[in-house]
Amino acid sequence: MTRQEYLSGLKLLLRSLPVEEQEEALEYYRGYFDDAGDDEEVMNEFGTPEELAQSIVTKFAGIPSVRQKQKNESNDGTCGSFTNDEVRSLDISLGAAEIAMITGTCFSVDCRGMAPGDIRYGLSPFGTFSIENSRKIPDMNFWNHNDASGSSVNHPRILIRIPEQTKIDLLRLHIGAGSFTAKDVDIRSTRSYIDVDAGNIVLSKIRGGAAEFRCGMGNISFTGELHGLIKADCGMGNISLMLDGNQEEYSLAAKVGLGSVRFNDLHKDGFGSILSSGQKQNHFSINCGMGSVKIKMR
Amino acid sequence: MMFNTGSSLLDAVVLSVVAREPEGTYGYRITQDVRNAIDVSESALYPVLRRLQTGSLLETYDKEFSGRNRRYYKITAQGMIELDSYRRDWIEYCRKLNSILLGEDL
Repeated sequence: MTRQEYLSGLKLLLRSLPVEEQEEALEYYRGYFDDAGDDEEVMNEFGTPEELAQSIVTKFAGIPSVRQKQKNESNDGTCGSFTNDEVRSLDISLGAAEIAMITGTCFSVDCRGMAPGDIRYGLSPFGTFSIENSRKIPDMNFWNHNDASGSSVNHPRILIRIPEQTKIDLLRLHIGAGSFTAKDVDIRSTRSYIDVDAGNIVLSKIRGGAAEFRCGMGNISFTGELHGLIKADCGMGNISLMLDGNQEEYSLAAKVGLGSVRFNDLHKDGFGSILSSGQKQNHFSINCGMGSVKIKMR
Repeated sequence: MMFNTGSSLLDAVVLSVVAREPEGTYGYRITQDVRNAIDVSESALYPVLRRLQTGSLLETYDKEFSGRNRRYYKITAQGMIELDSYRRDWIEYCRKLNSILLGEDL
């Protein structure tokens, strides 16, 4: 094994660490090889990349708490944490990862199981907090269950924290093939765009005005409250909306291909049917190809 | 050595080794210096250095060395205070052990 092979092996195995820690460790071992000179001897001393990675990863069990403390102390936004006042909209666009959103003290992002630079996030001058893949298909081992380290810890995982009772103008969420879960996270958003290709989105406790749902092959499960125009476009997937409100105040128009649409007790299956219940201020506009759209008001 | 080196003793040894160099020293040399005193695997040292660094007991800077950047570790004021407290504890510990192992007076 050459030094290069050894270090690239190590790089892959360190992906369960926070991104900064991965870079820091690799930098150290690169320098170590340079200073030692005798690559063979160094590799003998360190053991296999697996053994070395193991010793680094286990020893770092306590490190994140230290980093968290520094983050809060400085709170200058350089670590990617922002307060409720600064953020006007949320823009999340991610390919394949396991994403969870939880309530925290500020907006921040934590990544595990991916290479440095796979994820970009930050606040634009206009107050948009955006989180996105930096590459179209990142070097992620999302589908690989037989990872070299033999554990599932290395799957790309993203943890997004948002403050309690977040109020934003726009929530834009686009998920490719991964899963996105935000259970009991309070968000008020004037407008929402929820878009899933083949993945799975679970949102609860979202309140807001106009919303647009688009679902390719995946699933969207939404609980909350919506007003104004609510559009849902469903290809082969499932969209399920559990909404607070009085059914009398909402109307619905639906085009149904092969799929099925349910609006409380009203339902329509199959072949090019059209379902309409007038036009009120709060209106669902549904376009359903082969999937299923379920709306329940309570 | 037949005695185990606990993690605080390893911290103390690393801090002393780094403190010997006023200009700071680098990973490979720290490893060699530490291994002169105690038997510790090379892979055990990076996590220790990183932990001392995140705890602000060590600081790092990069300096050019034969066409590349080499990372140097330097002890901080806080690190000196910590090391001083380690040294006091060590003297006390040795005194007690000597009294038992070698029958010396306390």
